[in-house]
Amino acid sequence: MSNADTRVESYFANLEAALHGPNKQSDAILAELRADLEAQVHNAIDQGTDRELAWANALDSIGEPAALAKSMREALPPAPPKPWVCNLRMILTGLVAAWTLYLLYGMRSWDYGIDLSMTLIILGFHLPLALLLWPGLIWRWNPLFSTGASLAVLFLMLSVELWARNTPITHELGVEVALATPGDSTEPAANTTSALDLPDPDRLSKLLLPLGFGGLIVLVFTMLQRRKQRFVVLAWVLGLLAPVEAVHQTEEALFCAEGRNAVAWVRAFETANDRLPTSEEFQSEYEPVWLSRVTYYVREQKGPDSTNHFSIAWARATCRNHGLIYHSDGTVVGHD
Amino acid sequence: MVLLTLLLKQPMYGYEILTTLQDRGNGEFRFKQGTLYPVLYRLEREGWIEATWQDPAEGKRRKVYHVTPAGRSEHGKRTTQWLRFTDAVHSILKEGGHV
Repeated sequence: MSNADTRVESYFANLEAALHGPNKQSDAILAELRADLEAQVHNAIDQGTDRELAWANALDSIGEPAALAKSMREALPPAPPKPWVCNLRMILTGLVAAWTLYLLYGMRSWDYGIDLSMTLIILGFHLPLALLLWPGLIWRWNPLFSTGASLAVLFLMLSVELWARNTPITHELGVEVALATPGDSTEPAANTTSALDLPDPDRLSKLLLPLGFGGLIVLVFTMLQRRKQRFVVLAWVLGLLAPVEAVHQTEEALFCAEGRNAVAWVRAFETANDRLPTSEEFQSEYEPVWLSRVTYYVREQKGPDSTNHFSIAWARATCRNHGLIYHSDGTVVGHD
Repeated sequence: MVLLTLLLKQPMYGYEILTTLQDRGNGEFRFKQGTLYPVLYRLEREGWIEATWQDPAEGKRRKVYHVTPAGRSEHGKRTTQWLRFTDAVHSILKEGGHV
């Protein structure tokens, strides 16, 4: 073996060690490099350069093995996982996505109107997990992301777990809104906060958590290296949210239409009879237009100045455990 | 952008890219091989180029790079940006009487 051969073999042994040992990806790098260096050396020899010198020049042109391996490791696309690992990761991602959809659907059914805070929390909680599991996504090379962000995700998961266990989430984040009438929006009505709302200091935590998770979602998107993958992920997220929102928005629009109709009927009855109708009278005489099985009940108020209030309730068609209630004080809330 | 332009014309392997750059770049592009591979891998990571191993009838097996549709689109954008930039610089130089 000539000096050049010894030097070349030593160089490639060092490079392989610096690439962290033999594996499929290292083998491909070494094979590519060796083939290109041989082409370079042959070219130099053809032009009259001595073989020893040609190899020495070629090795000089690629630099020290350790430095080359470092810059390659930072730039290399990740090696594709083994087929069974790939399949397992796809199944796990599917499970996380299904679970997220289940949570989003259930959470949406609790309320009247979309609750952005809870949506952000649920998405921010599960999206990074699903994306880290999905094989084939290319992440920006960033040690801070792989360690720091993973720890941040873990911390947020634990804090949400503890927070959710001890907190009536529905009431903390729920808002009551006025029954939408033509021209009205579904903005929260003034001073119609839930009786179970916590004092003001907790409002900070209510804001911080959704904002934190919102930030995490943005971070995850920016850490995806390929623009196409960012668009695909965004399309998937919107694709998950759109049917959930479409179903509930349709139900709420129908409830509002039916509610207005029922309230007009109750008020007409009240004007004619100088009293509110009873539940039985409502059930037998009111003819629903949009929704069947609308329930009506009167809440009697004690005291000389009190007036009776009524409520109109409806169990959601797509989620029987949850429903919507209109109270005659002008609020609509979701209920279990 | 320069590498994408070369690879758009025809798929090439690493050493071929180096020599073509030197030939066509009036000697201005003196890439060392040690610099070239990380750049190629970075482009591959972005999804702008892809590599396939080719076994020619004669000679050694080579890893040949070609541009992907995403790379083609990126090349178009960067070329437009570059032309706009060089036009701006040129017009400033011209106004200053340097061209």
